[in-house]
Amino acid sequence: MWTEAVILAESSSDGPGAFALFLFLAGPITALGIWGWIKSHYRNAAARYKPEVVVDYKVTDIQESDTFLRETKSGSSRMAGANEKDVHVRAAYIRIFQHGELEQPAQQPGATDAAPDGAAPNTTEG
Amino acid sequence: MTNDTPAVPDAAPGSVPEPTTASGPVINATPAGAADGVNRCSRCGATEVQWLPEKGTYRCEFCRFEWSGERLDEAMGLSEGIDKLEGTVLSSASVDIADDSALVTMKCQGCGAEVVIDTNHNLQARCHWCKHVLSINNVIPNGAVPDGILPFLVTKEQAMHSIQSFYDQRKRFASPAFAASFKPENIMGVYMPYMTVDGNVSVRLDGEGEIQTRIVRSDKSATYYADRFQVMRQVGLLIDDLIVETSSDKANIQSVTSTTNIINAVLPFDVKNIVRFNANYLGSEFTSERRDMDVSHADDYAYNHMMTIARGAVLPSIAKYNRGVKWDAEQVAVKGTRWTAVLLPVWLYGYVEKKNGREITHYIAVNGRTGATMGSVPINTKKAALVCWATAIGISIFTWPLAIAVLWFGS
Repeated sequence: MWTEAVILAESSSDGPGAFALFLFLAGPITALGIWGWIKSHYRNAAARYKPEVVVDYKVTDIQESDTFLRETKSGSSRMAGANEKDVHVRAAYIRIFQHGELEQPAQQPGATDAAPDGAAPNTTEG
Repeated sequence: MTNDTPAVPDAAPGSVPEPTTASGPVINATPAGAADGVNRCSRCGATEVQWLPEKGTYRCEFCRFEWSGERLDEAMGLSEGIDKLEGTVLSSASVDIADDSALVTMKCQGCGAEVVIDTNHNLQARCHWCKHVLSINNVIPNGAVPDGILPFLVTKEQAMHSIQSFYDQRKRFASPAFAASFKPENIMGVYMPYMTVDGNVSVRLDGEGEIQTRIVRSDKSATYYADRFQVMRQVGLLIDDLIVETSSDKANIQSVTSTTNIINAVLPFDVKNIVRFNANYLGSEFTSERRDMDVSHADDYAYNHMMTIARGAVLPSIAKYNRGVKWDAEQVAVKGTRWTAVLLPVWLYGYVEKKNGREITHYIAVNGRTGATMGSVPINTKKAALVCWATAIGISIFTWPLAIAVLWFGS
């Protein structure tokens, strides 16, 4: 919270104005932090079964494909919408094939085959 | 008592059943358990049998003879042949519920009296005439009897101690009504219905990822340049003993009327130690909850967990995407699954909070095998809000004059 306040203050303007903003926000942001801590510590709403950690599984094969699309620029250090760490939150599109085969989605228009390290298309199996 | 079993092909326990056909699932037959009705000690014939959690054995209360149950994992080959699974394989007790009535009438073999057992809460009853204990140990059509059971190892005293210390760490902002009624001795030992699921699946993930190439910093901000890639990962997974809820009101972890996520948070259990079900594990101390979900209802939860496992499994392969990956699509192709109905031990403390005309059931749960504890304690919102406001005002008393001074003299 303090870090966010400092970042907010720093990003809004320079000098005394930024420092003043930080001082104005310090109290309310600390209070919000305490409220959030109480909620999470008492209600444990995010507690869940963690099959990705506790269930025994074996990866029999993994196929990888990384295709270069374009160069981007952003003001954030993290990709917009990145969700790889929220493993229990489902993606927007889900399909389940009972006793069937996986669907092979069409490649995006304009995509070119190139691995992240600039090598050949990275499709491996095994 | 009638024992209806569906007309489906059986496979010998421990063998990998034949792939399913259009006709439906294959049954992996559960070994026969103790007979229904009066269960006698094999040495003296008494029916007073007790489960000893500290030893993991039964004991006859008359002759003190002790014995233990048969492990289901070995008896049914539940850790074997996952890579050869095709179609849906069900154990004898995980077939669809055919009769929803909870009351089962048994004839006492001691005196001939008719004894009613409410299978919603227990699978044993004492004959009120001759005092023999009657048990239901084999599959009945209402889903109450599972294939296996994982007996309690954590004693009531240990569970009480766990929830007391859990509460002690949250005393300060607990609601006054909860604090006044909190009595750890009201904790209940409940066998909750679950299914263990083995799966042979393929999961495909599609999305986009970014790798940072450079940062350009100015006085006020930074601009991040990155290469964006279309990312695909496809994994084959052999999953052993995923645990899925089969009580519909507990399976919904998004419920607004109860904190059911808490019960799932004390998972996992050492399911390899599940033994063939015997109602003597319940005894008079524990109750059981009846399964009310069939495999066709529980499978969505299982597939959801399988996708979660796949998402976790591919994490090392996407580590190079240092700005993250946005998965847009997840697909799972299920080659085969194997389902076994079990009862798992949970110590539960429940409290109903009435607030703004709504009722919310808060649980504190203790895993009956590992002692893992998780809970939800209702918050004294007035006190918490007061502390937050006091903190905000307390800090602002010092910082706001400073801020005004900074602005005044700074300009």
